[in-house]
Amino acid sequence: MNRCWKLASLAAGLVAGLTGCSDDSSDAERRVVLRGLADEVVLPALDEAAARSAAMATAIDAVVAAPDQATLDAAQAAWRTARVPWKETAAFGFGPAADQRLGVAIDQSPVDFTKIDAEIAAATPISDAYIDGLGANRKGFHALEYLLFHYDDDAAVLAALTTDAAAARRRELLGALAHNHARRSGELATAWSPSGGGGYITLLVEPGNTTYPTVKASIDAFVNESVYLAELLADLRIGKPLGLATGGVPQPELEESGPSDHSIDDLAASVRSIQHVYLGTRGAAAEPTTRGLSALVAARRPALDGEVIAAIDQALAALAAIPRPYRIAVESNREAVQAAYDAVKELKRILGTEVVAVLGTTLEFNDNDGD
Amino acid sequence: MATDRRPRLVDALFAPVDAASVVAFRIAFGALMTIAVARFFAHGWIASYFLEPTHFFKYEGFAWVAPWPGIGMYVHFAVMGLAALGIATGRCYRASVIAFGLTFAYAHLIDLTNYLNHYYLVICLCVVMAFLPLGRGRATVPAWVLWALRGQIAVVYVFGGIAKLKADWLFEAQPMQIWLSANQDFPLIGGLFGERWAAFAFSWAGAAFDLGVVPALLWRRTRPFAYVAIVAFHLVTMRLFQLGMFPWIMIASSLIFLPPDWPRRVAAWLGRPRPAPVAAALPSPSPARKRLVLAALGAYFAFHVAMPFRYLLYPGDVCWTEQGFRFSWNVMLIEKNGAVDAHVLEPSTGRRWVAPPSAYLTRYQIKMMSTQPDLILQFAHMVAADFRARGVRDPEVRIDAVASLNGRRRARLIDPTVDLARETNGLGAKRWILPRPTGL
Repeated sequence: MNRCWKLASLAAGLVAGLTGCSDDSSDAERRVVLRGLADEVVLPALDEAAARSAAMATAIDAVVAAPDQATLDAAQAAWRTARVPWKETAAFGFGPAADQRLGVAIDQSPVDFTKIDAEIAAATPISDAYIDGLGANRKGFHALEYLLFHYDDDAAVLAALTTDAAAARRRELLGALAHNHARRSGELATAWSPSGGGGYITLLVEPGNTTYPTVKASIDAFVNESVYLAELLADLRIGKPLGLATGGVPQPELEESGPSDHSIDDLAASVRSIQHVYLGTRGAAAEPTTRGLSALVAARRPALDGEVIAAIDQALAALAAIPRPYRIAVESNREAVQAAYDAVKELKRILGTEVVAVLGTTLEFNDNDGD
Repeated sequence: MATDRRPRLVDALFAPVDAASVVAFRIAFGALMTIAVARFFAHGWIASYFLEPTHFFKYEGFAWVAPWPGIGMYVHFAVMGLAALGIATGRCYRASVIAFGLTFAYAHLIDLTNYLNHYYLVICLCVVMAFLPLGRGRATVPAWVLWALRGQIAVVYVFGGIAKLKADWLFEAQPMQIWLSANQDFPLIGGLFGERWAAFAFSWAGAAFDLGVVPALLWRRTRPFAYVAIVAFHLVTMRLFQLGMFPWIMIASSLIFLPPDWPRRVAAWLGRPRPAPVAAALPSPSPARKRLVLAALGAYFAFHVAMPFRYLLYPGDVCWTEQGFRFSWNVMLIEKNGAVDAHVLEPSTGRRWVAPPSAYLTRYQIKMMSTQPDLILQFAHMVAADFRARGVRDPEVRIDAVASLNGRRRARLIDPTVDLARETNGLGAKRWILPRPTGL
């Protein structure tokens, strides 16, 4: 081997060594953002969602034990109170929510009312294990909603829980579903938790592992989920009920939370989830202690950062302007719903084109090779 | 002088050279393709690319290519894998390379969204290799065999370099700035990746590498450094981007530029010497055969020289319009993201629909379609066909598409007033592609 080749081999070994080792000190800015998202957004939101789900189970225990208007009101309020923080976790619905199928166990939409009725009519003993074995379209938030709400007709709900022939079984199922929901919500929070839990958050904010090999992969996870969520909200949660896929014929039956009239709140909480990830805070504080993706975007293109923030605000304002209930609005206040669709769509476009470009995000819909 | 040189060149092309390096090339190629096929099984890509999509984007003239039913695609890839093994081992070499090339090409002709430059390279190599005597038992081969393979690899680098001679790449350091700033945790030098000068350095170095590496490989004195540069370049890009087999294919393929006896030298260095082949072991081909070989090589490489320049026949920035973009070695050249919706109108009733791509395509297909005008046209045709099947009379399909190229502000990519259901694909310029926005 001549001298040239020896020199060249030495250089090759050096390069291979360089690309193989890691350096935790670089990319401090993105690591700070990740840590902030974990501490200020992800973990608090999941903990709150789990706590509210547990509180909902307690409230539902009361209505199961003594179904009357007061306990029903409290259970319905607890459902709504649990629903908001859960929807505010939507922009980080990756990880355990998807991998362990906890997301669909907690919130599959739509559920199948006929199958839930079949469960009520069945004689199989109800237990937590039994609920675990049910398909996702027979449990979770919307199964509970079906048993707790009937649009504005609380009397019908109470009748079903008290005087109906299957009232006892219905109450038993309601209680079991609520406790299963609380357990699953707790499991999800635990799976993310760094202390005594599954530690998924550690994988995410301390990249260099097989799940998140680089800081970029961790940032990409948040960006991808936000883009996907905005698209889902526009096309599925607004566009379809509005009838954009059916030649202008509204499909109010496709709203997400019809019986509880919570669809608009669901949409707003989901957009807020994107907002929280973008701003890096769940609060409305004027001076948040940390910043999310906004910090990275602003460092590269301040004007775009302002546009994203404005687009989120515009989407929230447009949703707030939709008169309730949603199922009526999609038929008689179509302009307001269309405005919300346009605003959320615009948000998706900004995130999916310019934010993705500025952050160098790889829109990862699979793990195929490039070029 | 020129008339004297030509016979010497022809004689040189048909002179016997040690077959060791082309055999090593064949073994490496077969082994890497075996791994590539195995990855399709391991990653579940056979299902996600060929079984899960309900609609596919077609190559012109290959609309008839479709996934096999049932377990057919798994059998198809199993045959492809066995053929790749056949290439590596040299058993039934020619049948193996033809079988591999056909099965590989068929699979990747199913859906245009799966196009990758290195898949195109693999198909090109299969075409070349199908005509080369690379089977077992050969001690020497005519020199043109070696140069055919060198030529094919050289095309990738040279035209990859020429493609980088664009204003965005050279004078804006884009998309390199975007890519580097997203990878600041790169080992040791990642801290520099946020610097603007680093992006310029990488951009210019990348272009210089692509343009200069082939001449450097051909010159004995610079060859070792050029090959180390190849290894370094591909290792770095592999770390920065998700490039799968491409870096390994190029690292292995570039060994073809080493002296043809390099495997024997390596064996000797490892203490396992292999005897050199006996020179002049080949029968001299007839003049007609020589002319045939030279004409075939000339035509093949003329095609490869012309293809990357066909974009000049179209108006606008090729990176924006993507007319003449594929099959041109535009490797890792752009950062482009888009969003598309189809708006459908039934003229006779005035009824309107919005057809989101998610109703037809997988998320990967949506991503690929959203920035490529010819795929957007195919999507419009899919939507029109669907609405016709649903009983909508003469549906008009207009596309609401925005895209961002190399960090530019998002801009409309497609003229939203044009009914794409009435537009046809083809080689002509697509007038409904709007101009690329200026500036960055």
